[in-house]
Amino acid sequence: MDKFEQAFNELIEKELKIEPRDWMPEKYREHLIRQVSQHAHSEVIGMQPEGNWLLRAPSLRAKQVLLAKIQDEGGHGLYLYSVAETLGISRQEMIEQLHTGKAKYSSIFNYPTLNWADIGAVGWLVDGAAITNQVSLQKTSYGPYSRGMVRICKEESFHQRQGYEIMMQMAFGTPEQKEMAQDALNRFWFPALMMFGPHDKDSAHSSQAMKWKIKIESNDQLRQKFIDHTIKQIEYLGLTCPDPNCKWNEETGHYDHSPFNWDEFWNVVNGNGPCNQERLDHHKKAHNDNKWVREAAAAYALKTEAQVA
Amino acid sequence: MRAAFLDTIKNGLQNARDLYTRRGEGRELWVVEASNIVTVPLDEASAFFDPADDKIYRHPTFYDIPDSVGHM
Ligand SMILES: [Fe+2]
Ligand SMILES: [Fe+2]
Repeated sequence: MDKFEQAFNELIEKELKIEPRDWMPEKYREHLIRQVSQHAHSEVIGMQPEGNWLLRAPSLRAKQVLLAKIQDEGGHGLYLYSVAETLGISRQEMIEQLHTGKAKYSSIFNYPTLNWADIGAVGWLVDGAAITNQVSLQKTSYGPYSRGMVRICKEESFHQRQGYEIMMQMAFGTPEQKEMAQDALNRFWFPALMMFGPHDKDSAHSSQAMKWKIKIESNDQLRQKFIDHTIKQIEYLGLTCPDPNCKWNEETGHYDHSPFNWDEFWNVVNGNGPCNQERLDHHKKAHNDNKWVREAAAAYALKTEAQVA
Repeated sequence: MRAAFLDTIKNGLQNARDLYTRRGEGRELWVVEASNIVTVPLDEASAFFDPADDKIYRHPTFYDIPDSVGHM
Protein backbone atom coordinates (compact mmCIF):
# COMPACT_ATOMS: atom_id res chain seq x y z
CA MET A 1 0.00 0.00 0.00
CA ASP A 2 1.54 3.34 -0.95
CA LYS A 3 1.46 6.42 1.23
CA PHE A 4 -1.44 7.98 -0.68
CA GLU A 5 -3.67 5.00 -0.14
CA GLN A 6 -2.65 4.91 3.48
CA ALA A 7 -3.53 8.57 3.92
CA PHE A 8 -6.93 7.94 2.27
CA ASN A 9 -7.64 4.98 4.54
CA GLU A 10 -6.70 7.00 7.58
CA LEU A 11 -9.09 9.80 6.65
CA ILE A 12 -11.91 7.28 6.21
CA GLU A 13 -10.98 5.56 9.46
CA LYS A 14 -11.07 8.84 11.39
CA GLU A 15 -14.35 9.86 9.73
CA LEU A 16 -12.77 12.97 8.23
CA LYS A 17 -13.83 14.18 4.81
CA ILE A 18 -12.18 13.37 1.49
CA GLU A 19 -11.74 16.60 -0.52
CA PRO A 20 -11.47 16.97 -4.31
CA ARG A 21 -7.69 17.47 -4.24
CA ASP A 22 -7.09 14.30 -2.18
CA TRP A 23 -5.91 11.06 -3.69
CA MET A 24 -8.73 8.53 -3.81
CA PRO A 25 -9.06 4.99 -5.21
CA GLU A 26 -10.41 4.97 -8.77
CA LYS A 27 -13.31 2.77 -7.63
CA TYR A 28 -14.23 5.27 -4.92
CA ARG A 29 -14.29 8.04 -7.49
CA GLU A 30 -16.35 5.94 -9.93
CA HIS A 31 -18.81 4.92 -7.27
CA LEU A 32 -19.34 8.52 -6.24
CA ILE A 33 -19.69 9.79 -9.80
CA ARG A 34 -22.36 7.18 -10.42
CA GLN A 35 -24.19 7.81 -7.17
CA VAL A 36 -24.04 11.62 -7.22
CA SER A 37 -24.93 11.99 -10.90
CA GLN A 38 -27.89 9.64 -10.47
CA HIS A 39 -28.92 11.60 -7.41
CA ALA A 40 -28.73 14.82 -9.47
CA HIS A 41 -30.72 13.31 -12.34
CA SER A 42 -33.38 12.16 -9.85
CA GLU A 43 -33.83 15.69 -8.53
CA VAL A 44 -34.24 17.03 -12.06
CA ILE A 45 -36.46 14.28 -13.50
CA GLY A 46 -38.48 14.39 -10.28
CA MET A 47 -39.73 17.83 -11.28
CA GLN A 48 -41.83 16.30 -14.07
CA PRO A 49 -44.48 14.30 -12.16
CA GLU A 50 -45.07 17.35 -9.95
CA GLY A 51 -44.99 19.79 -12.85
CA ASN A 52 -47.88 17.80 -14.26
CA TRP A 53 -50.16 19.42 -11.64
CA LEU A 54 -48.85 22.99 -11.67
CA LEU A 55 -51.50 24.30 -14.02
CA ARG A 56 -54.22 22.32 -12.29
CA ALA A 57 -53.37 23.09 -8.68
CA PRO A 58 -56.70 23.68 -6.86
CA SER A 59 -55.83 27.15 -5.49
CA LEU A 60 -53.34 29.96 -5.97
CA ARG A 61 -51.79 29.07 -2.63
CA ALA A 62 -51.37 25.44 -3.67
CA LYS A 63 -49.83 26.55 -6.94
CA GLN A 64 -47.31 28.88 -5.23
CA VAL A 65 -46.26 26.16 -2.82
CA LEU A 66 -45.90 23.53 -5.53
CA LEU A 67 -43.93 25.89 -7.76
CA ALA A 68 -41.54 26.75 -4.91
CA LYS A 69 -41.08 23.06 -4.15
CA ILE A 70 -40.32 22.14 -7.75
CA GLN A 71 -37.89 25.07 -7.96
CA ASP A 72 -36.05 23.68 -4.94
CA GLU A 73 -35.69 20.30 -6.65
CA GLY A 74 -34.12 21.98 -9.68
CA GLY A 75 -31.71 23.68 -7.28
CA HIS A 76 -30.86 20.35 -5.65
CA GLY A 77 -29.98 19.01 -9.08
CA LEU A 78 -27.62 21.95 -9.62
CA TYR A 79 -25.84 21.47 -6.28
CA LEU A 80 -25.36 17.79 -7.03
CA TYR A 81 -24.10 18.28 -10.60
CA SER A 82 -21.52 20.65 -9.11
CA VAL A 83 -20.50 17.99 -6.58
CA ALA A 84 -20.05 15.43 -9.36
CA GLU A 85 -18.00 17.94 -11.38
CA THR A 86 -15.44 18.10 -8.55
CA LEU A 87 -14.83 14.40 -9.23
CA GLY A 88 -13.81 15.06 -12.82
CA ILE A 89 -16.92 14.52 -14.93
CA SER A 90 -18.46 17.34 -16.96
CA ARG A 91 -22.09 18.28 -16.85
CA GLN A 92 -22.38 17.61 -20.56
CA GLU A 93 -21.14 14.04 -20.07
CA MET A 94 -23.65 13.52 -17.29
CA ILE A 95 -26.53 14.75 -19.43
CA GLU A 96 -25.38 12.49 -22.27
CA GLN A 97 -25.30 9.50 -19.94
CA LEU A 98 -28.82 10.31 -18.81
CA HIS A 99 -30.02 10.54 -22.41
CA THR A 100 -28.37 7.30 -23.54
CA GLY A 101 -29.71 5.49 -20.48
CA LYS A 102 -26.25 4.75 -19.10
CA ALA A 103 -27.05 6.81 -16.00
CA LYS A 104 -30.27 6.02 -14.18
CA TYR A 105 -32.45 8.10 -11.90
CA SER A 106 -34.75 7.08 -9.10
CA SER A 107 -37.41 4.73 -10.46
CA ILE A 108 -40.15 6.36 -8.43
CA PHE A 109 -40.37 9.18 -10.98
CA ASN A 110 -41.45 6.74 -13.67
CA TYR A 111 -44.86 6.50 -12.03
CA PRO A 112 -47.61 8.91 -13.08
CA THR A 113 -49.31 11.45 -10.80
CA LEU A 114 -52.98 10.73 -11.51
CA ASN A 115 -54.93 12.77 -9.00
CA TRP A 116 -54.25 15.82 -6.80
CA ALA A 117 -53.69 13.62 -3.74
CA ASP A 118 -50.71 12.15 -5.60
CA ILE A 119 -48.95 15.48 -5.14
CA GLY A 120 -49.56 15.11 -1.43
CA ALA A 121 -48.30 11.51 -1.47
CA VAL A 122 -45.19 12.50 -3.41
CA GLY A 123 -44.21 15.21 -0.91
CA TRP A 124 -45.06 13.05 2.09
CA LEU A 125 -43.72 9.66 0.98
CA VAL A 126 -41.28 10.25 -1.87
CA ASP A 127 -39.61 13.30 -0.32
CA GLY A 128 -39.96 11.58 3.06
CA ALA A 129 -38.01 8.55 1.84
CA ALA A 130 -35.47 10.79 0.10
CA ILE A 131 -35.01 12.81 3.31
CA THR A 132 -34.39 9.66 5.36
CA ASN A 133 -31.64 8.76 2.91
CA GLN A 134 -30.25 12.29 2.65
CA VAL A 135 -30.12 12.87 6.41
CA SER A 136 -27.89 9.81 6.61
CA LEU A 137 -25.79 11.03 3.65
CA GLN A 138 -24.94 14.24 5.52
CA LYS A 139 -22.25 12.10 7.15
CA THR A 140 -20.91 10.69 3.88
CA SER A 141 -17.12 10.64 3.52
CA TYR A 142 -16.87 12.86 0.43
CA GLY A 143 -16.73 16.49 1.63
CA PRO A 144 -18.59 18.30 -1.15
CA TYR A 145 -21.39 15.68 -1.18
CA SER A 146 -21.72 15.85 2.58
CA ARG A 147 -21.96 19.65 2.63
CA GLY A 148 -24.46 19.58 -0.24
CA MET A 149 -26.63 17.18 1.76
CA VAL A 150 -26.64 19.49 4.78
CA ARG A 151 -28.05 22.29 2.67
CA ILE A 152 -30.51 20.06 0.82
CA CYS A 153 -31.87 18.60 4.07
CA LYS A 154 -32.59 22.10 5.37
CA GLU A 155 -34.60 22.85 2.25
CA GLU A 156 -36.38 19.48 2.23
CA SER A 157 -38.15 20.03 5.51
CA PHE A 158 -40.89 22.10 3.89
CA HIS A 159 -41.34 19.60 1.05
CA GLN A 160 -42.58 16.80 3.24
CA ARG A 161 -44.75 19.07 5.35
CA GLN A 162 -46.51 20.60 2.35
CA GLY A 163 -47.18 17.07 1.08
CA TYR A 164 -48.61 15.94 4.38
CA GLU A 165 -50.76 19.08 4.53
CA ILE A 166 -52.32 18.11 1.19
CA MET A 167 -52.89 14.59 2.52
CA MET A 168 -54.67 16.01 5.60
CA GLN A 169 -56.88 18.23 3.45
CA MET A 170 -57.82 15.29 1.25
CA ALA A 171 -58.18 12.67 4.01
CA PHE A 172 -60.32 14.99 6.18
CA GLY A 173 -62.32 16.27 3.18
CA THR A 174 -65.28 14.74 1.35
CA PRO A 175 -65.58 10.93 1.05
CA GLU A 176 -64.43 11.25 -2.58
CA GLN A 177 -61.34 13.21 -1.52
CA LYS A 178 -60.56 10.66 1.16
CA GLU A 179 -60.83 7.93 -1.46
CA MET A 180 -58.35 9.79 -3.67
CA ALA A 181 -55.95 10.06 -0.72
CA GLN A 182 -56.22 6.31 -0.08
CA ASP A 183 -55.73 5.59 -3.79
CA ALA A 184 -52.58 7.72 -3.88
CA LEU A 185 -51.21 5.97 -0.78
CA ASN A 186 -51.98 2.57 -2.31
CA ARG A 187 -50.05 3.33 -5.47
CA PHE A 188 -47.05 5.09 -3.88
CA TRP A 189 -46.44 2.98 -0.75
CA PHE A 190 -44.45 0.09 -2.23
CA PRO A 191 -42.57 2.12 -4.87
CA ALA A 192 -41.56 4.58 -2.11
CA LEU A 193 -40.21 1.72 0.02
CA MET A 194 -38.30 0.31 -2.94
CA MET A 195 -36.61 3.72 -3.39
CA PHE A 196 -34.15 2.58 -0.71
CA GLY A 197 -32.83 -0.02 -3.14
CA PRO A 198 -32.35 -3.80 -3.01
CA HIS A 199 -32.09 -5.69 0.29
CA ASP A 200 -28.66 -5.61 1.90
CA LYS A 201 -28.01 -9.25 1.12
CA ASP A 202 -28.53 -8.57 -2.61
CA SER A 203 -26.55 -5.36 -2.80
CA ALA A 204 -22.86 -5.80 -3.60
CA HIS A 205 -22.27 -2.10 -4.41
CA SER A 206 -23.73 -1.12 -1.11
CA SER A 207 -21.33 -3.03 1.15
CA GLN A 208 -18.25 -1.52 -0.54
CA ALA A 209 -19.85 1.91 -0.26
CA MET A 210 -20.32 1.31 3.45
CA LYS A 211 -16.68 0.34 3.91
CA TRP A 212 -15.72 3.64 2.32
CA LYS A 213 -18.38 5.40 4.42
CA ILE A 214 -19.99 6.80 1.30
CA LYS A 215 -23.10 5.18 2.74
CA ILE A 216 -23.47 5.26 6.49
CA GLU A 217 -26.61 3.17 6.95
CA SER A 218 -27.70 0.25 4.79
CA ASN A 219 -30.71 0.16 2.47
CA ASP A 220 -32.68 -2.06 4.84
CA GLN A 221 -31.85 0.02 7.91
CA LEU A 222 -32.99 3.22 6.24
CA ARG A 223 -36.13 1.59 4.84
CA GLN A 224 -37.09 0.25 8.26
CA LYS A 225 -36.52 3.65 9.84
CA PHE A 226 -38.85 5.20 7.27
CA ILE A 227 -41.58 2.58 7.74
CA ASP A 228 -41.49 2.85 11.53
CA HIS A 229 -41.73 6.62 11.32
CA THR A 230 -44.52 6.74 8.72
CA ILE A 231 -47.09 4.30 10.11
CA LYS A 232 -48.40 6.72 12.74
CA GLN A 233 -48.75 9.34 10.02
CA ILE A 234 -50.97 6.97 8.04
CA GLU A 235 -53.03 6.28 11.17
CA TYR A 236 -53.48 9.98 11.94
CA LEU A 237 -54.93 10.47 8.45
CA GLY A 238 -57.40 7.63 9.08
CA LEU A 239 -56.07 5.82 6.03
CA THR A 240 -55.07 2.17 5.72
CA CYS A 241 -51.58 0.93 4.94
CA PRO A 242 -51.89 -1.02 1.68
CA ASP A 243 -49.66 -3.76 3.09
CA PRO A 244 -51.82 -6.12 5.20
CA ASN A 245 -48.65 -7.49 6.82
CA CYS A 246 -47.51 -4.12 8.05
CA LYS A 247 -47.94 -4.85 11.76
CA TRP A 248 -45.97 -3.97 14.86
CA ASN A 249 -43.57 -6.77 15.76
CA GLU A 250 -43.00 -6.92 19.51
CA GLU A 251 -39.91 -9.07 19.11
CA THR A 252 -38.00 -6.95 16.61
CA GLY A 253 -39.33 -3.63 17.86
CA HIS A 254 -40.18 -2.68 14.26
CA TYR A 255 -43.05 -2.86 11.83
CA ASP A 256 -43.05 -5.89 9.51
CA HIS A 257 -43.66 -5.66 5.78
CA SER A 258 -44.59 -8.05 2.98
CA PRO A 259 -41.94 -9.15 0.48
CA PHE A 260 -41.51 -6.54 -2.24
CA ASN A 261 -42.17 -7.09 -5.91
CA TRP A 262 -38.57 -6.75 -7.08
CA ASP A 263 -39.49 -7.92 -10.58
CA GLU A 264 -41.57 -4.79 -10.95
CA PHE A 265 -38.76 -2.68 -9.50
CA TRP A 266 -36.14 -3.99 -11.95
CA ASN A 267 -38.58 -3.81 -14.81
CA VAL A 268 -39.04 -0.09 -14.13
CA VAL A 269 -35.29 0.47 -13.58
CA ASN A 270 -34.67 -1.15 -16.94
CA GLY A 271 -36.88 1.30 -18.74
CA ASN A 272 -40.30 -0.38 -18.82
CA GLY A 273 -42.19 1.59 -16.19
CA PRO A 274 -45.36 3.51 -17.04
CA CYS A 275 -43.56 6.82 -17.72
CA ASN A 276 -39.88 6.05 -18.48
CA GLN A 277 -40.10 7.00 -22.13
CA GLU A 278 -42.12 10.13 -21.47
CA ARG A 279 -39.71 11.38 -18.77
CA LEU A 280 -36.63 10.93 -20.94
CA ASP A 281 -38.26 12.30 -24.08
CA HIS A 282 -39.35 15.38 -22.17
CA HIS A 283 -35.87 15.96 -20.77
CA LYS A 284 -34.26 15.55 -24.22
CA LYS A 285 -36.77 17.89 -25.80
CA ALA A 286 -36.26 20.58 -23.15
CA HIS A 287 -32.50 20.21 -23.41
CA ASN A 288 -32.53 20.53 -27.20
CA ASP A 289 -35.12 23.30 -27.30
CA ASN A 290 -32.99 25.34 -24.91
CA LYS A 291 -29.78 24.92 -26.83
CA TRP A 292 -29.99 28.48 -28.14
CA VAL A 293 -30.14 29.82 -24.58
CA ARG A 294 -26.89 28.08 -23.65
CA GLU A 295 -25.26 29.32 -26.85
CA ALA A 296 -26.45 32.87 -26.31
CA ALA A 297 -25.22 32.85 -22.70
CA ALA A 298 -21.81 31.57 -23.79
CA ALA A 299 -21.55 34.20 -26.55
CA TYR A 300 -22.58 36.95 -24.14
CA ALA A 301 -20.04 35.82 -21.54
CA LEU A 302 -17.31 35.79 -24.15
CA LYS A 303 -18.20 39.30 -25.27
CA THR A 304 -18.57 40.90 -21.83
CA GLU A 305 -15.55 39.19 -20.31
CA ALA A 306 -13.43 40.33 -23.24
CA GLN A 307 -14.56 43.89 -22.48
CA VAL A 308 -13.52 43.64 -18.82
CA ALA A 309 -10.06 42.37 -19.75
CA MET B 1 0.69 35.15 -13.38
CA ARG B 2 2.34 38.07 -11.68
CA ALA B 3 4.82 37.36 -8.90
CA ALA B 4 3.13 39.91 -6.67
CA PHE B 5 -0.16 38.06 -7.01
CA LEU B 6 1.42 34.73 -6.12
CA ASP B 7 3.01 36.35 -3.12
CA THR B 8 -0.32 37.68 -1.84
CA ILE B 9 -2.02 34.33 -2.22
CA LYS B 10 0.81 32.61 -0.40
CA ASN B 11 0.71 35.11 2.43
CA GLY B 12 -3.03 34.77 2.55
CA LEU B 13 -2.74 31.05 2.90
CA GLN B 14 -0.13 31.37 5.66
CA ASN B 15 -2.22 33.90 7.54
CA ALA B 16 -5.31 31.74 7.21
CA ARG B 17 -3.33 28.76 8.44
CA ASP B 18 -2.16 30.71 11.45
CA LEU B 19 -5.64 31.93 12.30
CA TYR B 20 -8.00 29.12 11.38
CA THR B 21 -6.16 25.87 12.06
CA ARG B 22 -5.03 26.31 15.66
CA ARG B 23 -7.24 23.55 17.01
CA GLY B 24 -7.30 21.19 14.05
CA GLU B 25 -10.64 22.61 12.86
CA GLY B 26 -10.16 21.66 9.26
CA ARG B 27 -7.87 20.13 6.74
CA GLU B 28 -8.44 22.40 3.77
CA LEU B 29 -8.37 26.17 3.22
CA TRP B 30 -9.50 28.16 0.22
CA VAL B 31 -7.87 31.51 -0.38
CA VAL B 32 -9.17 33.86 -3.06
CA GLU B 33 -7.88 37.32 -3.92
CA ALA B 34 -10.51 39.87 -2.87
CA SER B 35 -10.71 41.33 -6.38
CA ASN B 36 -11.79 37.91 -7.68
CA ILE B 37 -14.79 37.71 -5.40
CA VAL B 38 -17.97 38.72 -7.16
CA THR B 39 -20.57 40.21 -4.84
CA VAL B 40 -23.88 42.00 -5.00
CA PRO B 41 -23.29 45.77 -5.12
CA LEU B 42 -24.25 47.31 -1.79
CA ASP B 43 -26.80 49.74 -3.26
CA GLU B 44 -28.61 46.88 -5.02
CA ALA B 45 -28.57 44.46 -2.13
CA SER B 46 -32.10 45.06 -0.86
CA ALA B 47 -33.71 44.74 -4.29
CA PHE B 48 -31.58 41.68 -4.92
CA PHE B 49 -32.76 39.79 -1.87
CA ASP B 50 -36.25 41.08 -1.13
CA PRO B 51 -38.14 38.77 -3.52
CA ALA B 52 -37.70 36.13 -0.81
CA ASP B 53 -39.38 38.26 1.86
CA ASP B 54 -42.99 37.43 1.05
CA LYS B 55 -42.45 33.75 0.28
CA ILE B 56 -43.02 32.47 3.77
CA TYR B 57 -44.36 29.21 2.32
CA ARG B 58 -40.74 28.18 1.71
CA HIS B 59 -40.34 27.69 5.46
CA PRO B 60 -41.41 24.53 7.24
CA THR B 61 -43.23 26.49 9.95
CA PHE B 62 -45.74 27.73 7.36
CA TYR B 63 -47.46 24.32 7.55
CA ASP B 64 -49.48 23.21 10.59
CA ILE B 65 -48.59 19.59 11.18
CA PRO B 66 -49.74 17.99 14.45
CA ASP B 67 -46.92 17.01 16.83
CA SER B 68 -48.48 13.60 17.31
CA VAL B 69 -47.37 12.36 13.86
CA GLY B 70 -43.70 12.78 14.77
CA HIS B 71 -40.95 15.00 13.47
CA MET B 72 -41.28 16.04 9.84
FE1 LIG C 1 -34.68 17.33 -3.49
FE1 LIG D 1 -37.71 17.52 -2.06
